Amino acid sequence: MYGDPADPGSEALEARPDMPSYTRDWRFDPYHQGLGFAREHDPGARHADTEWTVYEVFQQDRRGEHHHHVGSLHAPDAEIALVLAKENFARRGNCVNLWVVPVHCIHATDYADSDVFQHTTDRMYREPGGFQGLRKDKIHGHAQRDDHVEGVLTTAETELNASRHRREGP
Amino acid sequence: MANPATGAATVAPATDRTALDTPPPELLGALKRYLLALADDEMLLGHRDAEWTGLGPILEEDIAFSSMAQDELGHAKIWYGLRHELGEPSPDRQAFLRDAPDWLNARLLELDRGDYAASLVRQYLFDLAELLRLEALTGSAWKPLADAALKLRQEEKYHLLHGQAYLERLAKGADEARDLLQAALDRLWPYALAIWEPVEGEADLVAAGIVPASAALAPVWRAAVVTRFERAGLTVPLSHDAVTGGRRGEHGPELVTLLAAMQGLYRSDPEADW
Amino acid sequence: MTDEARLADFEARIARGEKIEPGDWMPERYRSQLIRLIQQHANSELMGALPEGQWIPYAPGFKRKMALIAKVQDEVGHAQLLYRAAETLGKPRHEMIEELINGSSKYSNVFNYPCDTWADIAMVGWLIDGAAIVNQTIMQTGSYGPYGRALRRITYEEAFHLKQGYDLVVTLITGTSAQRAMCQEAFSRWWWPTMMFFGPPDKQSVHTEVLQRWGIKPKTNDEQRQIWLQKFVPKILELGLEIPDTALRRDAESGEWHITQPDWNEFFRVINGDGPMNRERLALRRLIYDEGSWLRRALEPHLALPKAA
Repeated sequence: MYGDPADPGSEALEARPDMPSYTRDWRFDPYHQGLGFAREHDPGARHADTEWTVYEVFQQDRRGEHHHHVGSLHAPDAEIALVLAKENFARRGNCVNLWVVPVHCIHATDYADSDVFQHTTDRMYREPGGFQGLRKDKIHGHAQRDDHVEGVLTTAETELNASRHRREGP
Repeated sequence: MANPATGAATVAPATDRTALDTPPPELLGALKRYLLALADDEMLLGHRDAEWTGLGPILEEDIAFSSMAQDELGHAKIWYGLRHELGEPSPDRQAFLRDAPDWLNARLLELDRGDYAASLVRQYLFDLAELLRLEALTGSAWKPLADAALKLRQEEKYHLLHGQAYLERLAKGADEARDLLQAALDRLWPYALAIWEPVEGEADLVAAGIVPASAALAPVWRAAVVTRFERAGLTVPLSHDAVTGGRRGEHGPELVTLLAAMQGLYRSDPEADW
Repeated sequence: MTDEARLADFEARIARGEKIEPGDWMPERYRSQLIRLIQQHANSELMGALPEGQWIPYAPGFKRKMALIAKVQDEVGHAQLLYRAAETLGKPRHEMIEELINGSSKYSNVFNYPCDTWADIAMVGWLIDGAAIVNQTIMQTGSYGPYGRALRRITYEEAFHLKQGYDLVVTLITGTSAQRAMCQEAFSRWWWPTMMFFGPPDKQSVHTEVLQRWGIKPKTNDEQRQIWLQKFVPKILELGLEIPDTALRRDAESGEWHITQPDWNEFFRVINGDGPMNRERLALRRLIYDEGSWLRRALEPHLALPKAA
């Protein structure tokens, strides 16, 4: 990262004689950064940053969609967390709603136990793909593929797309 | 979110005329001055707010305040843009090529940014005024002005939420913070009162139903300010002495310094593309 | 499970291309190297806001002014995201910022060079943000989940920074003769710090191997520098900018660019605090934190000063 500065090598390479040197005797001194003051006083930090609660932030892009996790921030309470979350996470793009949740209120499974989510036995019976190869034999007694379910799903999908198209334009 | 500024009735310009698409020629000068005052206020506030960008007290707050700076500059651009449609130069040229005596901002907005307490208080005092004014302007007989006001009003809601949330917590949080806020309020108060100094010719615009009377908005604003600040435990000064003159082009040395920085590079070659 | 077995699991997971998440077991060295890396990255974003932020009041025209505010705002936002990513490894943010301010935690050297002209803003936006995008796109493929997630968002925003930087460069280089001269002058100064951006040559880097195996640093300094050169040198030549490295050449067979090495002594000098702007930048950062401390204290009851009676 950025040249990994804390990972320096040992030997130094030859410098080029035509490298510019940065010893110009003038310097741009912006009026608002108080550089002169900072140079003179150099106060030393008394309290470098907050030790506020961390809030996890969830954003809903549009009505009808799920909220999704976008990040987290430090805030003294939930109301300020919401005020800050708006500009920290929703200053670009769509957003209609935000949630903030104190991080200590989130209960999570342990990654070490993530094997509990693995499906070792045959669970095809709960997937649509587990019912492929239905034939109309049983109904009509002759070999013909039964595409009733696919037909229903296709119609539903067509409707969904059409309504999306109407809502969002082409 | 309810109207956080007032809760009271808004002041609509007195008009029973039909909407104007083009302003009457005899009012053009006054209208341009009024718009310039609006634009200059926002421009300078945006500029001052952005002096905190990268230097804020907390990372998260730095980001929020920078957004507000951008909002104010965006508003300024819209007001300058309306003037541009009335025959004035481009927004860039209005903002970056004009000398201090031609600026019509209230002096509140040109003052140095001060500490963060001063910036929060200035922002909040101004936002309360701006929301009131914008709400009234949505009833303007000149349609472009009413449309613009309607659009800009939205962003003010967030500004007030932000200001209110901090003000209430900080003023009640610790003596140190309350003292800083009170000091800022005391210092800024006479300047804030002058937000309502009318530009020359305002009365004619009011009569034509194009803008609300500043004198009518001022007490509504003052009541809202008193309610909000006193609820937070701060004392609003009783004084009615305003530091006026800004709307006539009379400014302090702060504006000269500010403009020298803001316009210097642009003016080094105004014909160049930057 | 023994630590060796855990390590084998950990390395196998990374080899499979799976990400490491905060609750996972990880070697102490992985944790400490990542904290150091992400913390320095966050520091760099925060310190990078200073040289550009100083130009906000001077930016010529609405578009430049607003874009620069938005850009510096994003950088503060990146610092925010990255410090949060580092915090998931167990180090609180106030400790990290304390270390930045007292000089014990580093940040990128480029921000210890002056930005004395408007064209410097163009160069930082184009050359340095371009280099940052190369670096961050690569680091995104790294093994630590929270860092990768932060970088995905950051890279998206950096695309806007690069565009505004490039737009600035093109505007200046196609502008008046004074603008062109300012542009070339700034470019010549920024060439060498840009060459140093990715760090010393690989042959000088001591622990790259394990960092690569653990997916902390997916590509070496030289590989990253080469990617940048491939993308940028042709564009620099197309714009008619003169590159101060007169010996720069492209190997016809391998297609690789050969550069004159910058002064790595200077690099280490600047890293160790003795650059043209180190003292001022840190003094300003300290001032900022001092100026803002009343507000943080007020909202943090256990740190508040005692109430007067």
